[in-house]
Amino acid sequence: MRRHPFALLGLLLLVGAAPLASAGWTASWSFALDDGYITTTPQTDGTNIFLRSSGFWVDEARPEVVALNGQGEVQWRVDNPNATQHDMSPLLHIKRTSGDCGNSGPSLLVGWSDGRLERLDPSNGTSLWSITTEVDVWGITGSIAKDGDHVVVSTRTGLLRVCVATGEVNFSASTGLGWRNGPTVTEEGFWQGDEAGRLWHVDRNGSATVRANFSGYLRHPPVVAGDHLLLHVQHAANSTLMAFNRTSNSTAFIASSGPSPALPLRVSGGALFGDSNHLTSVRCEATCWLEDRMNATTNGAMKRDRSGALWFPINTPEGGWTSVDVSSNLTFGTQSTLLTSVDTYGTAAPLFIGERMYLGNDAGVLLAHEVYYADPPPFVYDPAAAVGGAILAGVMVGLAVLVRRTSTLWGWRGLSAVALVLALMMLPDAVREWNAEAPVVQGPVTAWNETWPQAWRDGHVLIVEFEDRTLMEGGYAGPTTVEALTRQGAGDMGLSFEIQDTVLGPYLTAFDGQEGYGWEYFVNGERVPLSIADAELNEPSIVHWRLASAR
Amino acid sequence: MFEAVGVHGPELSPTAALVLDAVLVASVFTLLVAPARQKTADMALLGTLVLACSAVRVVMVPLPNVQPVTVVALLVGARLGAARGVAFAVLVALLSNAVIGDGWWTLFQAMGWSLVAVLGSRLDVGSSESVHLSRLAGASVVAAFLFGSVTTLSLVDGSTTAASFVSLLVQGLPFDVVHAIGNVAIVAWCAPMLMRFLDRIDTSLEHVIEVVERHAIDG
Repeated sequence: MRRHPFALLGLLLLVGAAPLASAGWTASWSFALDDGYITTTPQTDGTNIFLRSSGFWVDEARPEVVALNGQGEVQWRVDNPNATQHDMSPLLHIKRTSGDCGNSGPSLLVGWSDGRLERLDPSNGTSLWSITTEVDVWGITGSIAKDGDHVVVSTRTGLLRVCVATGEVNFSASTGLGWRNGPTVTEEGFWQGDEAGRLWHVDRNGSATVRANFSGYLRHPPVVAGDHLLLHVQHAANSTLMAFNRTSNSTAFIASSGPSPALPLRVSGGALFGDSNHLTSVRCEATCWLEDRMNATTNGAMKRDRSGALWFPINTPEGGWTSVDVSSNLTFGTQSTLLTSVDTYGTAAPLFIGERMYLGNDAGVLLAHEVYYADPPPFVYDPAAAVGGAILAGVMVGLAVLVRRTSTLWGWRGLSAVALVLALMMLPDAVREWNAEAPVVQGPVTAWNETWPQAWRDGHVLIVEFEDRTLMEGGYAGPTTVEALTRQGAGDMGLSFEIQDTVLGPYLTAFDGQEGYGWEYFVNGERVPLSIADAELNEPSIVHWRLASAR
Repeated sequence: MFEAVGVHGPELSPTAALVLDAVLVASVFTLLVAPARQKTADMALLGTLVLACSAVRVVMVPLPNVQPVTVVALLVGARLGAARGVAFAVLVALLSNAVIGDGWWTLFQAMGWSLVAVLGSRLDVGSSESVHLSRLAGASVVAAFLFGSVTTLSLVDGSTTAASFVSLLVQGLPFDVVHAIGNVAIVAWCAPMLMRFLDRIDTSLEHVIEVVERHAIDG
């Protein structure tokens, strides 16, 4: 009789685990919040995962921020006993800042519904500073944007620019009543919508003006596409996609769409929009137009994986996650659905770290998935290792016989030859492992340049420096390796490139046919001693290619 | 891979490369030809060794950092003295790089093998009948790391700090280890044969120079 509970448990585990192993991902571990929903996309410092909860006020439970390591073990957790509303401001992890207001190390910026903006130490959750902003039922609900050595955050009734290092307020501007209306940073200042449908511009002195008026709600950060700002205006039963020309101050209607807009996602040449009815792509050149549309239900955040596929949670009671292939001209291709054992409503986009994906939804469970290959080759016994071992053993026995019959010299000769062959065979793997642990070689520091378009801040920047010219592109959110970024960025720059596969990994030999004495690359000013396929970009980075002779 | 094959340092202009090669050839001339007592037959034998080693180096390029030249430089230094060892090292670097690829790094490779030859000149490796193989093998391991360190200097530029130079050295360690293992294998297989060849060259020149050098140092 005792076996029955175990048999039932086993059956439940099988049933629960079965749906996870589909669509190229397999579940590895899960972490359940004691109480609360996961409504915002988890963040990472490249190793750890930071997630926040919203909702639930059961007994002592309050919204919190939790740090997990790569195995799902809690590193620290910080709650907010004063929270009385849902916390939906996405976390922002910043590796470091430097500038006139001071230098800062790693930071986790948290906006709370009780109006507090707090900087936590990502290593232990210690509060480094905290400032209070106004509360009108809610406090901070929108995203936080990085602006050099400052962050910009939409408060309940305005906009605040704060030094990351010190927490000193640079300015506080009054705008309209807002909800989830994060700011967008551009070179000329900051853009923000409000609940009255007004598009605000706040210049770098903190002076706020209304630049356009839409009838509806502007609840997400405007998306920069060239001279245009793309906006998803929410109405009671539907929404409209609008373009605002920053130069001419003119507005243009693009399309009508469904209710409850998702957070738009900037992509090269335009943006992707979601709502309860559609997923829509919009492209801009001199004007903006609807490029493609498909049926979907997504009201939260979206993200692209390392292959460029778009992922978003399906915000229905049945839930699940959809992935869609998006072409370079923003047309939609094959889509697939990933179902898990805890599917329900969801608004948080997946977090991708290397070949891992983390999914969180309103069930309050974070699921870690690892990539698997849908059609693994059937297991075939490879006798190479056994044959190699046998040959090695045979050689050693032969050497022993040789030494016994002739002289020690012949033993050394044989032994040294075998050692050399083995060393040469092991060299590629040894170099790869060794360089992964080797200290970083500092190169020319490539810091953020204030003359670059602010729209690039949320993505990677690619710089290709020739002897006579330097090309750059930015704002890439999709690529997660230097190789992927280089392929995409060079294509956008119109540069041809040559990449050779070697035993040490792929290496780039030429841009536009120019080889010189080789090309080398730096990530945020540090030369990375890894193959471009192995060099991961887990946060917005500046990748700088230059000729090795340019020193 | 963070850098393409062939990244050794700054590219030289044709004029700079010509000046560099001229300086290296002049140093060889000074070391080999200027002394009046150098025999033509010995010069021919040494020249043969230079050509053979250059050819072997070119042929062995596909094997990463297996460098027979290092062991030969060590032996030439040991048997013929520092001056001819340095001349051998410079000539092999110049000739083989003319095929593999010439540049700023040639200077540092020539310096590296020259230092190895000087190290060899201070080494008692025995005679062709009785080679001190273990001592030679040990010296060849040291020579591998010495050569690796000197050639890493070719990557130094204005932005290089002591810490980043150490990082470069550390990154090159796997290749230096292969170099060292290759040296030991070459010593085990080829040292006696090379010693017999080198014994055919008159060592008297070096004896004279060594005596003069020692007197100068004593003075």
